[in-house]
Amino acid sequence: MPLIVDRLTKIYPDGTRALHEVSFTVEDGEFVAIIGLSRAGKSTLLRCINRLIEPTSGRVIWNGIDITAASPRELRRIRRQIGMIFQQFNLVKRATVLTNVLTGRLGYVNPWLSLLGYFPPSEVQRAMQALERVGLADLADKRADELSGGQQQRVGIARALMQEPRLLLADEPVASLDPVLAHSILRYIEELNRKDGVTVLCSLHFLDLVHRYATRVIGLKDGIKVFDGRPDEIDDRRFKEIYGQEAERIGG
Amino acid sequence: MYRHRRWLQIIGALLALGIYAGSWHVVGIDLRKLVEPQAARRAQEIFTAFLTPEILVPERGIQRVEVPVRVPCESGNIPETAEVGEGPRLFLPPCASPGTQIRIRGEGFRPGSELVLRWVFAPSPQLPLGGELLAGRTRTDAAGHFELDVEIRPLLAQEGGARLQAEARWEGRWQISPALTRTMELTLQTIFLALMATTLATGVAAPLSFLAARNITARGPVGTAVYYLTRTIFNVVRSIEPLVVAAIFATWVGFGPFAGVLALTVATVVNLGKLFSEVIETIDPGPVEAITATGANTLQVIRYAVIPQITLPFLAFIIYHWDINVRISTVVGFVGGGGIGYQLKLWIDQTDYHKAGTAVWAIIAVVSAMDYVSARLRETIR
Ligand SMILES: Nc1ncnc2c1ncn2[C@@H]1O[C@H](COP(=O)(O)OP(=O)(O)OP(=O)(O)O)[C@@H](O)[C@H]1O
Ligand SMILES: [Mg+2]
Repeated sequence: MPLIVDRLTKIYPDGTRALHEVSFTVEDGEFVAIIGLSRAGKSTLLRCINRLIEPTSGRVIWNGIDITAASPRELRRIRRQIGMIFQQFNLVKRATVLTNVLTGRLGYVNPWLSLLGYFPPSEVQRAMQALERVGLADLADKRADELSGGQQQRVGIARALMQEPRLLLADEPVASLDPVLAHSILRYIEELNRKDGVTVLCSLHFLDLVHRYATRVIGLKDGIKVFDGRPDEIDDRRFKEIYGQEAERIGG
Repeated sequence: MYRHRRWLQIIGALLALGIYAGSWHVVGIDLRKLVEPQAARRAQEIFTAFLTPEILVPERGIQRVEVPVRVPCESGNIPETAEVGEGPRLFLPPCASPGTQIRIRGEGFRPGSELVLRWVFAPSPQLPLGGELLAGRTRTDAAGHFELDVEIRPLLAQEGGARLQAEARWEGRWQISPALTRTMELTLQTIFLALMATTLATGVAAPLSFLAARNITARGPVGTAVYYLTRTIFNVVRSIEPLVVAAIFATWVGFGPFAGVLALTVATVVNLGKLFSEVIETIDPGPVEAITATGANTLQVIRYAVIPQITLPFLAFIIYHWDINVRISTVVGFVGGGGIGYQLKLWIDQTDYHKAGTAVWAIIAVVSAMDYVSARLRETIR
């Protein structure tokens, strides 16, 4: 079932128009890169999809359900199927790696027991498997803030894996990492996309990464969708439309 | 324009001068009062007493036995020796003739103590208030015995006899003074009083602080109203000094540590509530966002994204406030809040300045100790 974004608009309380009537449809299994300058509205778009930010108007429909109209309870059930990873990893720094991964399961487990810090053994096992998949099983008992940036982002991926997501939102997942690490992280995401069939929406800064991983690109400029197509369709003219007239193309 | 400002300055300066002159007068500042001879003497007395607090006092003891002796003896009776008393005992004839001497022996007294013998007269027409007459002095020997000859004076015949009283007095080893014991008890009470108040207050302030945290509560009109209401309550109650609150509670539930606990609790709730809410407002929003995105509910978000970030800062503030509360509770006692402060006030009112000195030193010791301990604790948890 597709993800339909329909005339999505976000105006912040201070009057900033971060998104303006953005519409597109994403089919299952696509790897969509969201590109655009700083402040173009990439983070806002991704957060409006799972309503971490309330859109001002427009609709987001996924699996035939209108996310924008969901009650708080429904919204939690939708969110638990949508994994999310962040530029700053957003781990709970003082908690262990294992606990961080387990939090990915909070939408599924008994909420009262989870408040006491209890997760059933089956979930702990699932968390260890997720950590194995990102190659961090031996760091399970370390505190999250003892890990390197690349390792922290892999914990972030393991946390998303716990949700058994159908959709993955990634907000500049590699912008805080060096290029080598960037590829390693994106390969995990690519594997999720190819092997597990998870639809991916991922904002990216570098066009070479876009060409290498994405099957489709959506370009934003000042909150308006200015491009929607395949990565190889971004020619010099399109590039200048997205990034401005002064921008010079480097690499990619 | 410029002239105008000059005039304003002059008027302002005059006004300030007037206010200060008035205040000086109203407050009754009279520096001479500090050095008047009488005042200086009192000050010296108090300070000397404070510098020599009552810590050790000699153990004191007293033993007393009384036996009646008739004077004179009735017709031709030959006096036998009578034995009287339990523990310390006296041996002496039950009657005597005036002008003679009788031998008095004692046993069972504390060895090596000062012994005084005196006649104790019952009230009579000649001695309407009764009376006492020294009969002799000696010391008890190493076995607690003594022997002394006592003269039968004419006054005894006149009164028909009197009771002979033997009194042994001694000063023993130096020991911890009752004032110091009391001070230590009350110092402990003060620390526990502060601990209870801090703990109770933490229990109330921690949940409240979430309501007073903008990033948690100020969502939607209801949340925003709750946020401002909690803030306002905190600010209003914070403006009332703990001393005033303590005075109110002392009349409500009576003088004593309970009133002190209540007063300190109120003060601590609002202070910690404000500090806690500021901690919550400055947490990293990233984990909150991430946990929310997993489909967790609000309580789960608080448990997994907020609490891990605030535990240590909260703990640091709690320890810091315990320290502050020990300090305040010494003063709160003065207005009826129990603890060492209350006893200090009693001793000062009774002009027991040496004992007051003991309390003052204890306060200085405990406050600096808490200061140090709380600083170290806060260092280790950082
Ligand atoms: N909470 C907010 N309140 C007001 N304005 C905001 C808020 N968050 C973002 N904005 C504004 O909305 C616009 C879009 O911001 P957004 O963070 O979505 O852009 P972005 O494309 O993710 O940029 P970046 O590459 O810097 O992350 C910007 O002008 C930003 O200043
Ligand atoms: Mg962004």
